[in-house]
Amino acid sequence: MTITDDTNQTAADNGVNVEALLGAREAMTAMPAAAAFTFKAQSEWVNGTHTRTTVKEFFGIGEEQSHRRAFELDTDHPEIFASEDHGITPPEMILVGLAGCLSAGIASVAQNRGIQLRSVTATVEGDMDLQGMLGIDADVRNGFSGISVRYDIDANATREEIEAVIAQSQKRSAVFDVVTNPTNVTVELV
Amino acid sequence: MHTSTTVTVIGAGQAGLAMSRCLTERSIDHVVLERGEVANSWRTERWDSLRLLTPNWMTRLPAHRYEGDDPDGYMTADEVVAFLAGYGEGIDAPVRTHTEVRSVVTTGTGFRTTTTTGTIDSAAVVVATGACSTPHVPALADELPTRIRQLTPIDYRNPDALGDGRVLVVGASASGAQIADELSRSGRQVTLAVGDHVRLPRTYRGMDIHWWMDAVGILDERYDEMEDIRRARRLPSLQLVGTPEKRSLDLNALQASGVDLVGRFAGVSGRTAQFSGSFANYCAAADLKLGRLLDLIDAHAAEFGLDAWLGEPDRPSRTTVPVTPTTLGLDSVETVIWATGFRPEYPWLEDDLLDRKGQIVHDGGVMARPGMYVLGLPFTRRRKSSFLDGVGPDAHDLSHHLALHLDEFAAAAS
Amino acid sequence: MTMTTDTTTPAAPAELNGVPVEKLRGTIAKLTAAPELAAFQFTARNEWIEGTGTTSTMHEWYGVGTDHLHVAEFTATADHPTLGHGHGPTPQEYVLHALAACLAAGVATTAANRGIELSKISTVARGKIDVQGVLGIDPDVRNGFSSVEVEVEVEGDASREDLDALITASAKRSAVFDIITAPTTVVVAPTS
Repeated sequence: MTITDDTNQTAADNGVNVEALLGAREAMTAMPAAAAFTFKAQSEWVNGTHTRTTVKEFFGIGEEQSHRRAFELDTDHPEIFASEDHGITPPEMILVGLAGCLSAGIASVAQNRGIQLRSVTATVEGDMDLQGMLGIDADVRNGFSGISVRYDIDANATREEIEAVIAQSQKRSAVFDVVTNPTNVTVELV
Repeated sequence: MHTSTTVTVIGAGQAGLAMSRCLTERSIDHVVLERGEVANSWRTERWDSLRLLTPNWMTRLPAHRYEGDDPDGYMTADEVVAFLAGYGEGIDAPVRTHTEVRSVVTTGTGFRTTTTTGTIDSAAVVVATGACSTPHVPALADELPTRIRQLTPIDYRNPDALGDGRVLVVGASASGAQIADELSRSGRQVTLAVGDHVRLPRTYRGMDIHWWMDAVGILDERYDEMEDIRRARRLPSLQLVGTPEKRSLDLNALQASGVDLVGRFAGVSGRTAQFSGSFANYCAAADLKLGRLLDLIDAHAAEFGLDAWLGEPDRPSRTTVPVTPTTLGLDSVETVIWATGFRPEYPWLEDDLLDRKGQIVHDGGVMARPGMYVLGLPFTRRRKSSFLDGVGPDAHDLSHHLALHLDEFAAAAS
Repeated sequence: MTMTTDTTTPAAPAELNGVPVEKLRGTIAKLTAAPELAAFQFTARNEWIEGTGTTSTMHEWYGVGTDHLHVAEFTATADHPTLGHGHGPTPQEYVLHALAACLAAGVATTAANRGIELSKISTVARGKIDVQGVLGIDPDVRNGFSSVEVEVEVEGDASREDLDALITASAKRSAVFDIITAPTTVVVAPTS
């Protein structure tokens, strides 16, 4: 069933480089090998549970690429975990990734549908029973038992249109997929 | 045995027979090849309780329509077989039964079709083998313990054929929903894995939902009017069932029947099945899509002054989204039914006619090779292309195109 | 962070590798005695900047029966290369960072618990992704990583076998490793 296209046809500009997106799509439809990407994070342990990670290079469109600059991210644990709170916890970092991915998708989908966004705020909450991670109860998983994301969106669109944009964003979100579906991870000592 | 004719039609289901009728009307010689008996898949590949999703009055083929005494009812598979067999005889379709196609090859003068009973040379070929010839079973199937019995809707017949243990039905389209419902009512424990689905009420404001889709023009939407035809062709089948009670078969109804819902079947880890945590999103998306359709219907009713005699808008309530577990111990599962759709295979067609996924490349049914056509696939030319009611208009269009092709072909040869 | 009951484990010092082991064991004992205190909730508040750029703020969190605040309001900004404006790494890279960091923290803690002193933990996490998924080109391709590989370099006063065992133990108890490898329920909705 077609999405009813009776939204105003004036172009929305949410700052998403749609030409680049469509160009990439076309190029990759013609040459699927160009779509194979590898992202990378390089991490150095500082002390205790404090780690500093650098993100700069990645691979895609057949060659090595680089972000405009190197990004440095810190993670740690709060004092109750007997740590020093130099940075957010790794699970919170997952929430950052999830929110960032869904919101970026909302901006893109909205632009595609001629919806001008004014503000987009997400509150992401992840519930975790620490009995898992601390090895207290083997039936409890280590990670989040569930995550909820609540969106507060101000835009020139009806509530249904906004709900549809939110639904579509999840459908095309890499991090939503990684979190909601199983993914293979291998860890090796080098 | 060797034959020469003008057109070779492959498949004697509704698509092949409709095309046959159109060719006959144009006095074009042809044969219809059928690997089994007429309406083969309706005879051998449907479960016992299956009924059409569309009401009987919507069974309209070229030169023949349903004329029984239950126009608002839904035909059983046996009734469809009888209807199609009768149709084939009535239009004198030149069908060769028990003839399986091994290859179709392009020649200098057209095509050579090689079958189990001989070869046929023709100027044109129409592929009418249907949308449901080969079930698409995900690679996950290989990771299930061999103890578990695995079926697809093509080999499922009825609850009695299964053991009493828990059944995991994968896929909440029409087949999956109907089978899960039937098994739950038989007293078995059923888990239904839900991904992308299309939710519809059986009736709305007193009218069958197909009546609405026909009236509003959705079923006649053309393939070249769609923004994303590839996506439209991949739409899961409608979550409907055809019963005299005209009940709806959505996730709320399934939960009420006692079916346990989980997200998409995403993986197997040891002896545990893993289900996606995206269940809520699929439900939200289906509810939104349903809302848009009902808005369209209400707008149509208002525009055409139908409100006076229609019932009140009785919108279905939102899908109740339970907290679904993301794991299920496979030790507790006896049977898995893969209602994960179909993906026809064409090893008998030349490679350059198929895309990367092995599907036929076509423009509204006109294949890449002049003189070759395909009919009866989802949204071939219209949204209703793969329905019993939809293949007729497509056959008319394509037989016209085919006739023009033959004229050009003949002119070039002379 | 497994609590080994192996009696041959040397008594760990109060702090090792920067991990205050005594304090950690104290927390574990407390939560074992009162499991309801183990219910935690983490929160990220995300604001859209422009295009595909957003900033998350992490300040409050809930655990051990009460609300807490991080020592500072931490922020993290994400964006996309090419399509975006270079505000930050991609969300997928945040996931890789989270994984690397979680595993590293686990290695440091497990080592401390086992009385192993470490001098270095370098981790590289790589995630492969076929973007035909997110770009809607091929519906059979998933949106996220098809696989993730993590390479950990550890230096400390232990055999290679023992160091390897640290990594295995860390993954086994890692929250992020679990979040990525197993399905997790996510519910997204607009505020009413």
